[in-house]
Order: sequence, then C-alpha cells, then structure tokens
Amino acid sequence: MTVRSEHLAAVTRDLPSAGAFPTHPLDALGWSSLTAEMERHRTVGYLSWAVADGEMPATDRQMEEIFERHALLMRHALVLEDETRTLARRLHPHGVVPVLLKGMAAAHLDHEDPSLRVFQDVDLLVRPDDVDSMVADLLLVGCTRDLPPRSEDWDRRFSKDIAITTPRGAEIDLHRTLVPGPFGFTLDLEELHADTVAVDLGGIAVKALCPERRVLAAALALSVGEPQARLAAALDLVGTVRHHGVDTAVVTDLSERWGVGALLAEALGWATDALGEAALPGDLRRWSVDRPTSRRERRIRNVYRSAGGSNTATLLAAPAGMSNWRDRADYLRWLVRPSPAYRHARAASARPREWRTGLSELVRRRP
Amino acid sequence: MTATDPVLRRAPDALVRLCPDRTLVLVGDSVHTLAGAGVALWDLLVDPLRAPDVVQRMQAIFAEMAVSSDVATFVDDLVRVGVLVSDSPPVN
Repeated sequence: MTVRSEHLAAVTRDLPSAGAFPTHPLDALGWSSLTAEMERHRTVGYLSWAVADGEMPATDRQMEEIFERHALLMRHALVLEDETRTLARRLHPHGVVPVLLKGMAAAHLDHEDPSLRVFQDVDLLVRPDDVDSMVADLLLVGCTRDLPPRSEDWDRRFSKDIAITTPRGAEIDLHRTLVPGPFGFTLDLEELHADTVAVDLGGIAVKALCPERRVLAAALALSVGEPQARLAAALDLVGTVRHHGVDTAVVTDLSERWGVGALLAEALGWATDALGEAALPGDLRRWSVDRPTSRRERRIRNVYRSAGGSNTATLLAAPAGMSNWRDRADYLRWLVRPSPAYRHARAASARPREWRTGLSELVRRRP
Repeated sequence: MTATDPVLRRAPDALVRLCPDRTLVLVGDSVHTLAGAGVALWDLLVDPLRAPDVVQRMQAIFAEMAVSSDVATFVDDLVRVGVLVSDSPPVN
C-alpha cells in the first residue's frame, strides 16, 4: 500500500524528524515512545504498513514486534466484527439494523484498507425508543452491563451510551447520542438517523451514517469525545472527505443546526494541524478558520475534559443542551439522586463515591 | 478430476484482514491467523476451484516456498474451521 501524505503525517508527527521518516531505525527508547503514541492514537495500522513499505526504517526486531502487535489488534477487530454480526442477526427479525459508528464503520468505509484502522470496542447508534428493548435482549443472552440505569427511563432519555460486555468479553457501546454533556443533547437524533449507508459485514447487512454525518461524528469524537484527541478520529474525518466527496455546505449546515458548529471548526483545525493543509479541501478549511466561536459555545466547550473540564462538570452542564424544563428537572433529579439499584451497585463496585471526588475536582479548578 | 469432485471457495461470510507481512487473519468458527501458504491458498481461491486443482496448484506453491506439508490435510483443516467452504464433503 502506498504511503500517502496523511499517512506520513500520522506516523511522523511526534518524531524528532517531524514531517519526514527518519533515515535510520529509531533507538529502543525512541521506538518504544513511538509505538506507545501510535497505540494511544489507534494508528498502529499506519505504522505497521509504513514499516512494511520500507518508508519507516526499522530493525528486524522492531519489524517483528509491530507486525505481531498489528496482527493481534486485527484478531481483536475481527472478534468485535463477529460479535456485531451475531447481534445484527438477532436484531434483523425485529426490523432493527444496527448503525455502526466510529472505528468499525471508518475501517470499512473511510480508510484505504480496513487493516489500517484499529479499534478496541463496538460502537452502535440506537434509536432512543429501541434502547431499552435492545439492552434487555442483550442481557437475556448473557451479556452484562456495568451499572444499572440511574432511573427507569434514563437510558432512553439521558444516557450517552450503555456499555455492554458480551460473554466473549467484547465491549459494545450502545449509543443513544454521540457525545456526553450538553452537545450530546443539542444533536437532532431523528435527523442523525435519517441518512445512512449500507455496509456488508461478513455477509450480514448493517448500516453506517452517511458521509456528511460521519464527518460530524468524527469531528465530535476528535473535539469532545475523549480527554485527549486521537489521530485516528482525524484520519476518519479526512478519509471520509477524501473518499466520498462530502458536500461542505451540507456538513456545515448540519453542524450549525445541531449546535455543534464550533466543534466542527475546532476538529477541522486540529486535523489540518496534525495532517497538513492538503488533507482537507480549501472551502472546508476556510470555513473552519472564518467561523467565529460565541462566548456561550466557549463556556460550554470548557466543561469537557479535553478543554480542562471534568466528567462532573460535563454531567452537570448537560441541561444547557436540553430544550425543555421538564427534561432538565428530571435529568438533574436522577443525576443527583439516582435509583437505589444504581446506588447499591455503585457502592458494591470499587468506584470512588460519585460526588465527593467530582465536586472536590470542581472546587479545586475554580480560579 | 471428475464432476463429483468438490468445489472449494472462500467462505463468502468470512471476516478477513490482510496484514502488511502477508499474515491473514480470518474468522470462521473462531479466529485464525494464517501466514505464508495460507495466504497463497486464499489468493488462489479468488475464484472457486475443484479440489484436485487446488491440491495440485498448492503443491506447486509449497514446493516453491520449500514448505513440506500434506496439502490435502491443510485444505481440509481450513474447510473444517469454516474459512473455506466446499459444495460437497471434502475428498479424503
């Protein structure tokens, strides 16, 4: 596989030779630091292919190590795909077709080869009305969930996602929305589901979001989805634009309508910095530079961990993204005083007490 | 070669990744990692082939790779784990 410019950027951005491959194999420390970064950014596939192509010099031992690690990650990816296929077979008779998100969708649709994209769990988008029945169905076949819901209607009204572990140990995140906190509530979930594309997963039909929605999903993952941005999400975004000729006006209009224009602009800026100006079309880059961020957007953005906020701040700020007072009141009520089942399960787990740590973090952060 | 010889093909529902060192990872009944001749067999079966043809061509590939192996058993194993399918029971 030919190493393209964004592959080069993906592998070389943290090297001393930034922007170019080194001329000799890295020493042990440099190699170990590079592979650790590639693991964190979920870009081991890119490093592995760059080594195989001879672009990235490596000793025999380094080569063996990266190929072994890559094959192991691909085994895991295939187990996850097999689990998804099993789940899809269960859901088809009920007229439900799972919508793949993030790594698995991007691997099949937005990268030149699926082996380039590493992922560690399954992310599926579920209509709010289907969440309860899908969770119940999975629990019936031996899957487990970490904690019970905070209230009887929490999963379908307020949850970002429900993490389910299959009997084979695979993690499936059933997403009601794409990101936590306020921005997760400004998204129009009906409209999010409205345009999908078909994906064949080992002979089983599943779906993924259409390219414009995948760009937005990648932008959200890149900006507020994780405490630290991952290069894999930037490569997903750039890959979708490159391979599918995304309509800039559609993406930007959707982002504004869903209240996440500032996040799209931020993510496009991050991707340009990381992967180079050539990675994105000029009109999209110009839009990201010209789009102003309002004070309100900045205030909300700052509650997220990737901007120095905290999980507690993100949870407490969520009502800012809700459109009616009843939702805000119900959300805060169950957030602060969850069901006894939730409290008991949490107390029985090894977690720290919920509000003590979170609130002390908030107090420490106040200027 | 007769009309009753089984035809071998790649399992149409196999989940597959080809790694840069030509390691092939596949899911049949469980996950399998194939290297070298396994990848050659996968490439060979881009189109369905009668089993004797597969064995003959794989013997040539094995000889070229200086690999000593019982081709028929190797192919049968891949049918057994579900990454190759046969339209009739494999030939013993």
